[in-house]
Amino acid sequence: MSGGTKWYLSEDCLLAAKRVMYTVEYRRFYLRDLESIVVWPNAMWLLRPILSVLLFALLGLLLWPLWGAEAGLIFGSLSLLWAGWELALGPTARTRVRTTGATVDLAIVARTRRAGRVLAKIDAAVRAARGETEQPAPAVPAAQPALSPKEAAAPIGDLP
Amino acid sequence: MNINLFTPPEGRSSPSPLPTAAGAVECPKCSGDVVPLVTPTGWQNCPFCRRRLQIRRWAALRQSTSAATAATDQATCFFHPDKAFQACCQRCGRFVCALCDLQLGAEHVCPTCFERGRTDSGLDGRKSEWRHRDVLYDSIAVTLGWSWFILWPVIAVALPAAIFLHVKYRKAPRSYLIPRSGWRFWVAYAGFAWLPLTIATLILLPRWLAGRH
Repeated sequence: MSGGTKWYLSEDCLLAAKRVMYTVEYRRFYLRDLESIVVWPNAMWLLRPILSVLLFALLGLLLWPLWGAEAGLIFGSLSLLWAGWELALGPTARTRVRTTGATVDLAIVARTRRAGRVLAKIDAAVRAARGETEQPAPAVPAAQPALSPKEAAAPIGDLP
Repeated sequence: MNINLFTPPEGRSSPSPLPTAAGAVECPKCSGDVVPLVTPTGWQNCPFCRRRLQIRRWAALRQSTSAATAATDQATCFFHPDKAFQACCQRCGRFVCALCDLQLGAEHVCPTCFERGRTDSGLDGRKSEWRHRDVLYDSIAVTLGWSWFILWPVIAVALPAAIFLHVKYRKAPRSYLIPRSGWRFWVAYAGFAWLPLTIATLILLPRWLAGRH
C-alpha cells in the first residue's frame, strides 16, 4: 500500500517523495530552513530477525510430518540466513528532521550504518546552499561542487 | 536537591562541545538537550538516557515574522491594512506584510496565489515548485493490465480503461516531479495479451503440429 519514501537532494532543497497507492506526495525541506537532523537506531529492530527465525521454525515444524527432516533442514537454513542477513545489515534507523517551521519524523536512511554517509552529503549541500546567502566568508569553502541537473535528481544513496 | 530528571546532577562532567556547534538538539527519547559533538564514529550518546544518536545541526536562519505596523504614509499589506508592506507577490503583484509573505525558494507569493498554485499545479512542469502530489496513471494501467484475470470478465472494462489512461495521460509520466518514461503503459498491454496468447498457443499449436503430421 505504501511504497516507502525516496529522498532526493537538489541545490536548494531536500525532497521527500512518498508513494501511497497510486499517488506520490512530495514534501520539500529547503536547505536554508533546515535546523537539525537526528538519526537514532530503532529499538524494535531485533524483532525482525527474531520473528523471521520463529516463522521459519514454525513452518518447518508444520511440514515436518510431510517432508521429514528435510523440512527442518531447509527452513532452519533459511531462518539462519535471514537472521544473519538482518544482523549484518544492522539496526534500522529512525530520523527526525527539524526546520524553522516544522519537526517531522521521516526515515531518511533505512539502516544506521548508512547514516553517516547520507548526513555528510546533506551537510555539504546545506553548507553550500547557505554559503551563497551568507556574508562572504573566504574561510568557508563549498564542501562539494554544485550538482548538475542529473545529479540533483539522483536519489540519496540506496534509500528505500 | 535536584528533582529535575532531565538535568544532570552537578559534578557530572560532559565532553566539551565544538565551538562552532552552538545550541542543542532535543533527544527523541527523553527530550533532553543534547549538544552535537564530533566523535570518531559520528555517533554520540544522549547524556540523560544514553540513546545513541547521530546529529547534524545548522544555525537557524530565522525569518522575521513580526509584521511592523504601518506608518500613515507607508504602503500597507493587501490582507492586513495596518501592517507595513514587506514584499510584492511575484504572481499577482499584491503587497504583503511579513506575516503574509510566503517564500518558495526565491519566489515571494501571497497566500491566495499559494493556494491557487497548489490547486492548479497540474501537469505543468514549469510549476514544479508548487507540485505536492502526482497521480501515477501509468502504474494504474499496469495494475489493470496484470490483475484483470483474477476476475476475467473485468477485461471488458479494464482494457478500455487502460487504453483511455494511455491516450489521455501518455505524456504525464515525463512531467512528474520525478520524471519517468511511459514504458509502463506498454507493459500493461502485455498484461492483457499474455494469457490469451498462452491459451491460444496451448490449444492451436498441438492441432497445427498434428495437422502437419
